[in-house]
Amino acid sequence: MTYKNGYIGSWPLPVRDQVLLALVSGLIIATRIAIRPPIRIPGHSGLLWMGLILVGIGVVRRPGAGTMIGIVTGLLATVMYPGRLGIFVGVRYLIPGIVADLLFALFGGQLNRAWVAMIIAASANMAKLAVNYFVGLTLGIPAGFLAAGLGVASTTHLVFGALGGLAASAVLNHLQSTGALSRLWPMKGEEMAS
Amino acid sequence: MEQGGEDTKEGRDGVRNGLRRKQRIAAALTLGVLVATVGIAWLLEASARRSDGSAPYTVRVEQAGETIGVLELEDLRSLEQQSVVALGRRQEGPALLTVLATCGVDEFEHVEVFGMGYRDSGYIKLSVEEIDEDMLLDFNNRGTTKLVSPEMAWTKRVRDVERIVVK
Repeated sequence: MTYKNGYIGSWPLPVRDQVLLALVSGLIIATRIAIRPPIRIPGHSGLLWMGLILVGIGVVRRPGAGTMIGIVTGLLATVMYPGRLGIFVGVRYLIPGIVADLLFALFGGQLNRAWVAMIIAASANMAKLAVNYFVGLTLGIPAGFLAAGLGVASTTHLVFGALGGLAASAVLNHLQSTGALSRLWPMKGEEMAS
Repeated sequence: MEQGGEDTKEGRDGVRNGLRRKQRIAAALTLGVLVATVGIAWLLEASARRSDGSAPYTVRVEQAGETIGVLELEDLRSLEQQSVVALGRRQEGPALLTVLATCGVDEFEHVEVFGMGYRDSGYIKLSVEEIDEDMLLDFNNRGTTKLVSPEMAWTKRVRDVERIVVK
């Protein structure tokens, strides 16, 4: 069986993939709450968040993996800190996952290439910023308040997202070079040959 | 394996070249969209600055249904500043008690703090026993304040504080 766009399989997701994606989602929420680096720069959370999404997608390599991470993370966030945003909390996590999925397919799943991973993660982090802006507008928060610092925030979101992608690419390359990926998640070639 | 021309070396090279070309186009398009988004963000910020020169952010303090103080960012900065470390990060701003005292509040049973609710629940109710000198309104990057204290959980924080109701 041959799969396109760098995928190694299709739906339904095997249990190991579901477990991995759930773990990644849990890690994203845990890092959001527990890891508070002393960096007062907007978008810095994208370094870990987008990095984790890409690692999840890069290991599972099935359509919709990023969206799945987004849905599960969104549900966890909605349960843990819903606030006034309600379901919009989930949307914040869902959209970057969808963007990462679409770009993963567009770039043929080449996450081992640092520049591809950087572009995908930067785009996902920018999508997060855009969602925050539009959610704010939907909630009736003054556009002037939302726009304050938006220029710098967009630039830093881009940079931190790209750094997250770079880190994810390094992790995936390391997993691949040590053979961990091929042992637990068969490579495309191996699956094709079987 | 796929059948036909792709099994030959030329066929595989052709597929690879096609993929590379597709990736280059995708990269150019994505980078274009990213740069355009950053540009739009800077434009939005610049137009917001031009259209509103006044200080848009204030913290209103209310008691018994009446407003007893409206503090702009500069007012808050002019108060005695406190510094604490909460969840590993330094937070700086006026203590909540200092803000209340500035508005003439000396006795109260509890305080309700309302934020914009954009990044959190936007609400917390605190009894007088729960408030100490280490609970403060930290200045953030967005030109607003958030209510923090070393003992307060991350999920309990109120960001973009707008209103404090004293009871």
